[in-house]
Order: sequence, then C-alpha cells, then structure tokens
Amino acid sequence: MSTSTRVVGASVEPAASPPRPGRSELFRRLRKNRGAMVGLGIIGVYVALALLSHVIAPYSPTAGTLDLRLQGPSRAHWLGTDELGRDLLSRLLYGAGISLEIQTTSVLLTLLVGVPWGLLSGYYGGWIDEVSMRVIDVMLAFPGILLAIGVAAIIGGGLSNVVIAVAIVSVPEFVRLVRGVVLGMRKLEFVVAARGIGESAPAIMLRYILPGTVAPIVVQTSIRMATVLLFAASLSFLGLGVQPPTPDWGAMLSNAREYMFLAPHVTAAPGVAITVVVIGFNLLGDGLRDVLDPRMRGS
Amino acid sequence: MTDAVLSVRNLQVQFAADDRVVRAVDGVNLDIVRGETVGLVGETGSGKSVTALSILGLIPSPPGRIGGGEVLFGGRNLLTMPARELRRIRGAGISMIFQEPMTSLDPSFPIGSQLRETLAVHLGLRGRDATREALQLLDRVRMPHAARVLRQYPFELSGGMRQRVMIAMAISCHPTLLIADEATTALDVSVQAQVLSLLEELQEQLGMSILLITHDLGVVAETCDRVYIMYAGRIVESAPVDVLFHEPLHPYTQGLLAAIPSAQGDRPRLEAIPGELGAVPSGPGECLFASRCPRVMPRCRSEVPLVREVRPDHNAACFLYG
Amino acid sequence: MGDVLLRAEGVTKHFPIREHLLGRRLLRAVDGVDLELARGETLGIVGESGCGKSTLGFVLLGLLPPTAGRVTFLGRDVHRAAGRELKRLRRDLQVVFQDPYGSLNPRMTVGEIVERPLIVHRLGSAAERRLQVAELFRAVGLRPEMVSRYPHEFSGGQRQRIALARAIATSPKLVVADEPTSALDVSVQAKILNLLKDLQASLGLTYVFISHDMRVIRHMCDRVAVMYLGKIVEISGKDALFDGPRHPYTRALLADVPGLDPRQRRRRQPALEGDPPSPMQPPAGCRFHPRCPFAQEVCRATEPALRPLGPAHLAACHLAETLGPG
Repeated sequence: MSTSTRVVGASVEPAASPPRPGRSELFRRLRKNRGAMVGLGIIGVYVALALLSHVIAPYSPTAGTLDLRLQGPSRAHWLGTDELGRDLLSRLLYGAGISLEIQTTSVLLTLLVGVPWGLLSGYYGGWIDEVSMRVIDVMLAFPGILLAIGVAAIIGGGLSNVVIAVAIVSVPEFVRLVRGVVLGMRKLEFVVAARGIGESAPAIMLRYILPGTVAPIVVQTSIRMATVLLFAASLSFLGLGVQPPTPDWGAMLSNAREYMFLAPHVTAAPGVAITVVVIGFNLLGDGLRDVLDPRMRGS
Repeated sequence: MTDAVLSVRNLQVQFAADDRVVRAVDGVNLDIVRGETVGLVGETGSGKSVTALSILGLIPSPPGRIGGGEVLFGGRNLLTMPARELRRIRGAGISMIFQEPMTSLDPSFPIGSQLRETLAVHLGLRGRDATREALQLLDRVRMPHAARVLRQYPFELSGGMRQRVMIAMAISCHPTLLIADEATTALDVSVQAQVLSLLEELQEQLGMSILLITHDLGVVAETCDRVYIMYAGRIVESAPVDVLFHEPLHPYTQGLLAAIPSAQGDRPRLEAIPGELGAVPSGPGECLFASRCPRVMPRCRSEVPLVREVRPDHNAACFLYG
Repeated sequence: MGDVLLRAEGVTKHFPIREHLLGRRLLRAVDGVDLELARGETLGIVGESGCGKSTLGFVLLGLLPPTAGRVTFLGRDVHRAAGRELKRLRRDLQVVFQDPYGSLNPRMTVGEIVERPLIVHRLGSAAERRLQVAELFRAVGLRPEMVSRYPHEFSGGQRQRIALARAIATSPKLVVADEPTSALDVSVQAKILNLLKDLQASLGLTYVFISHDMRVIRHMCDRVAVMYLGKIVEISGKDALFDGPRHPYTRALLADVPGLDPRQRRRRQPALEGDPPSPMQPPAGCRFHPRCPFAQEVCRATEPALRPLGPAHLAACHLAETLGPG
C-alpha cells in the first residue's frame, strides 16, 4: 500500500515562526479586557452563589411567619423579609439557583436544535435553506418576549415549560448565526479541498466547519444568557412561569409590586439582582467578542 | 550624486512585534536620478515596501519606528520635516501608486469627485477647471470613455482601469518622483504590459523619475535603468539593469536569476536557493544570507558585509569581492 | 505518454447570476471545452482572469457539475459516479490550490491534514497511516517531526508542500494544480516546481497545470491549452505553441510577457488593448474579435471552431492559415 517515495533532490525545510494567536494568547487578551473581567467576576459570583444556595442560605426560602412580614434589613435577615415573612436573602439565593438552571437548560436546548439546523441549512442550501429561512423570519418578526408569552400561554406555566418556551424563542438567532458562518466558510479553500479528498458531508460539517462556528456561538451564548434570564423573569412576573412558592426572581418582583412603596427593599432585591446579572453576561459577551473577533476576522 | 532627485541615506526602520524588535530596513542607501527608472527588487520580507512607505512617512507609528537615517528630497530631509510640509509633498512632489487600487480608491465616491479632490487640494482647481483637467488626465492615461468614467464608482471599473485612475491621480501634479509599489503585481499580463507602457510614456512626457518596487525580475528587465536588490532589510547589490542581469555579483542575485523559469524553455531544472528567509535566525554581526549562501565563507558569519563598489557603478555587499 | 486518462467532451458551465428581482444573467464561465489527457503527461491550461480555467479545473475534478457535456476518467463518468465508485474517483483525482494560506484547515495539525485522505479511504491501520504520513512528509521535503504543528506555523512554500503531501497521500493518478505557485516568491516557486516534477517522475503522476504565468507553463507542461472567455482558442505541444503560435490571442499573450534580457528590450506597444471582457456578455462571432488586430468581417459573424493546423496543433481562428505561425 505504501507509495514509492524516493524523491530526487528535495531539500528539507525548518519551520518558520508562528504569527497567529493560540489559546494562551486569547486568555491573556481576555484578562486585559476590563469589561470582560468585570463581567466574568459578576457571573462567577452568581454561579457560585447559585450552586451553593442550598448550603449557605440561612433560612428556607418557602418558610415564613406572617408576623415577620415586610421587615427591613436586620441582623437576622440581611435583606429583610417579603410579604409572607420569608427571608429575602434565602429566596434570592435559591432564586439564583433556579435562574441558572433555567438559563443553562434553555440555552443547551437551543444549541442542540439551533446549531445542527444552521449547519444543515447553510451547507445544503436549496429548499431546506429557503424553507428554514422563511420559518426563522416569521419567528423573528415577533418581539422575543411576545413570542415567549405566546408559547408559554399555549403550553402552560411551570419551570420546565418556561425553559422550553425560552429555548424555542432563542433558536432563530442561533440558526441565523451558524448558517451565516457556514455560508462564509463553505467557499474557503480548505473546505473545498476536503471535498477534494473525498470527505463526506457530515465529516466536513463537523470537522472543518463546526470549529469555525465556535467563537461566534460562544459570544452569542453569553449574551443570550442575559436575555433568557430577562424572559424567564418576565414570564414569571406575568404569572406564566414558575409557580409559587418557588422563588424565582421575576415572580418575586411581581409579588412585590403591591408593596413597592411600602417596603421598597422587597422589589429592590430581585430587581437589582436581575440587573446586575444581565449586565454581567453582557459585559462578558462583549469582551469575548472583542477578544475573539479580530481572530475571526484575521483567519 | 549631484543629479539625484531622491537620496536615501542609511535608512533604518524597526517594527515592534510582541517582545521582539524586527529590523525591517537596516541601513539602506538609495539614489534616484532625474528621469530614470529605478527598480527595488526583493522577495517577501526583504523590506522593499517598508522602504518605499518610509520615504513618504507612511509607516504606521506604532508598531513601526524610524530608527535612523535620512531621506533627502530637494535638499531637505523628509524624515524630519514637519507634517504639514510633508503633506504638501505627498501627491505633488512625490506620488505613490499601490498594488490594490480598490483599497486606495474610496468606494463610496465616483471617480470624478476623487480626481477633483486631488486637483483641489494640490492645484487649487475648482468647478469646471477641475473637471476639464480631470478629463485631460484620464485622456493622458488612455482611459476609454473618460467622460463616463468620471461618473462611475470604483467597483464598476476593472482592475486595469482602476490602476489607470490611480496613475491619473498620481501624475496630476507633475510629480518629480513616482513610487510604484507592486503596482502591476495583481494585474493580468496583458494589462500589466499596458500599464508599464503607459508609465514609460508618461515618464518621457513629464520628465519624472520612477521608483518601481517589485519582485518580478521580468518587469525590471523591461522597464528599469538601474536596480537595487534587497534581502532581509539590506541592499545586497545595485547596478545598471543589463549589468545586473548579465553579470550578477551577489550570490542571492545569482540565485534569483537562476530560479526564474525561462520563456525560451531552455532550463530543464530550476536552481533553487536552499533554505528560507528567517528560518535560521541570524546574529547581528553576520551576513544575513550566510545560512543560505552556496559560497559562504567563515568570514561571512562573523562580520557584516557592507555595500562596496566592486566595479564601476556596480555595488555589492559580499565578502567574495573583498 | 500512454493511454487516455481523462476526457472532457463539450464541457459547459454557466452560472446564473441574479442581478435583480426579475433579471437573471448567465455567466458563461466555460463554454464547450473538449480535452484529452494522456497518462503521464502534464497539460497546461493558461489564460487571463475570467477565462474560466479554474472553473474548468473544478469540473474536470468532479467537484462542480457541468451545465452540459461530460467528463470521463478511465471511462467512468466523473459526475454520475456514486458510492464506492465515487470514493475510488476521489482517490485517483486530487487537487492542489493556489492559496497556501487558505487550503489547509487552520484547526487541524498538519499531520492530521495529511492523514485525512488515508482515513477517509481506509488505507491502512492507524500505525500504518502514521508511517505513511511520515513518508509523505519526507517525500515533499519536510521533516516528519513537524506533524504535530499547525498550518500557521509554516511559511507559504512549506504549506504548499503540505498540500502536495495531502494530494499524493492516496497515490492518485491525476493531480489538478490550480495556480500552485502563483502566491509564492520566485525562489520558493522554483523549489515547488522542482518538487512537482520529481513527484511526477517517482509516482507516475499526470498533471493538469493551471496558470496565468507563461514562463511557468513552458517550464512545466508538455502540452498547452490557451483559454479565452470560456473557450479553448489554441492547444498544442509546448514547443509548437511557444515558438509558433497560431492564434492571435496566444501571440499577443506571449508578446506581452516581459523578457528577461534588458539588452533585448524593445520599445513597443502592448500587444493587447483594453481589458479582458466579462464572461457575462461574450462578443458575438469570434470572442476575441474586438481586441484582435487582424479581425475581419467573418470574425464578427461566425464563431471559429478549433481545427488542426499542424501535427497535434489546433487553433480556433478563421485567419490562421493566412496569418501563418507567429
């Protein structure tokens, strides 16, 4: 099977120096990006608190005594209590856990559906692509939150349905994103060369094109996490999401509306939490884009 | 050289790359006489483009840095000239055309407005005077349908036509020196022939000197009066063009000439220069070509050969000649 | 020179370009090309931008289906093959591209890149493949220790060597080289051209060599086909073409190539005026007539066919006899 490889006169070449950044270089650049670092810090705290909520929460999030209701921050209750006497800090912590769960599950679902869809649509083109794009267009025509509300209204409330609703709503932009990258990469010479050596279409999509989509997907995911949180909170706020007494930040906000002027800390806690986490994800996403984009443009 | 229109003396340009400093141009001396075409030849990494850009102060200042030397034009050093005066020289005393006309022309404006802008800035022409002059310039560069071209956008023109527009803008102020940086590299051979013939014609009409930067020795053989060969930031040989092609002194020049396939088909195997530029790092005190030179001597690795006049009007930087 | 390896009959490739909602124009990249390639030879396809040579290369390889006509490789229709036959075809037909910076997957090591064809075609066990990759590296003049590096760590010339190693990995019969040295410096180009010739000798390869550089074509090829606006206007053995071109376009092209002897420099007008026309609107009659210094009425009216003017020398020009060899 071996080819005859006696060659006359070939000269042996040493390697030239590398001009492009590797993984360690990327991390270095990320560290220099202040926005990204702040975002990463916020997210880090958020994730840590969410994961450790069961351990560090001082009280149960659902147990409350009515005579302790609407108390301001005190030594016993660092953030005070809500309208049913439940410890706000504990509810916030457990709520973080719930939000994180919704975010990760939802985004994972979105990626599982959106990325292959985008790959296939972009690679094969033709009517698959035409039909897909029209479906995506219709979905994108609705403001995201309305679509989420619509889906939730159809399939009902509850934690898992919130996850599904938000996942569905996030799919179109990922499909568009991946498809765009695929369209651009399909013409690149090394992809054509892969066809030339006989690679099958799945191999080409997975080995050659998919790695090129990772950077934009990572950036988009980070930003999308923020939107997912907002949508989930909004759905809960409207009563379509997580049902009481489960502590969800959106639901907490909703319930606290009545007491907003009476006991502002009850709205402030979840409100600020949502805001900070959303900002954190956005900062991280922007920073990632700054770091990854020049590399993407350069390749 | 008393007749020199441009003199480059010991030019040094460095680039900061991560933690290293790259000496892109390391002590280059160059003279261009009135009315002559000088070829500056080198491969990738030779520093020829950096040299050309430095003349007009077009090197981006980080990461690039002029480390020393002078560029004398009309008796004044361009490297130390205040920016305002340098700007007056750019486009007027010294003009430059580049390889990619698509990136030098603004895609959002029609050709006419870009031409007129050059005329307004340097010659103070406006309105109908400017349009008339623009048309004349386009005629001069043998642009077909000149009136229509004025209204068109760069993307509507072909590569050759865009290059002609660039040339028109470059000669609009009758420059003393035209620098052409790989101006025909991206063109088809027939269009290249047209552009080169045009440059020759314009040179005669305007008495202008041309600094032609290229890696294509064929173009050099056809158009240049004198040639400088650059390698790794240094000049290794300079001579009148026919002397260079028929009696090259420096082993690098000899290697380059031996590597070109001939259109006569009489060279069954091309001789290739072993190794590659930058593959083996060179120390500061040796000939940069030593690791690839077929005639290397011990002295080459311990001293830097300087450019010397080996024969009348034929200079080389090589210890083979003393 | 042996039996016919590849045959192209009436190959045509048109691209519909949608300019606006209601308008679609046809980009006639390749318009009726007939070619035969014998085992062991190197056929050069030369032309300027827009002539269709790269498109033709893709169609010959089976990577782009033709609008009309067919391409057969050892008798098998290249575009109708499927399944096992297609796999076999992909083993025998390989390609090397122009851009050494784009033709290698930046996220795979060069060892993996060269190994892929072996994996795809199931040639050998993992251990055997590793040995073969090392052999291939040595064959193209690279040190086998470099298999774990990434493409960006190599220079342009080295990347072309890697691309060549990939191309010969499956012991192909035919390699289409599309401007393989156009992006390289002269001294690097010389090495790659030498390497191509050496590989041809040691592996018995047949080449289709696509280029715009007449000097390189003369150096590398046995036979040369000149393309203009999607058609072959002249095809012949290399010496006959270079020493006695019969088509005015070939003549002009050769005249415009800069010579290498300053002492033989002559003041002359460029041989071709104007720009290479767009393949969207080829002129009527002979496609070259608007730029041809010899154009006559017949040239404007009818398209000339490729006809024999000498032993194995064809040209498509009504006036070829009257004009004589250039």
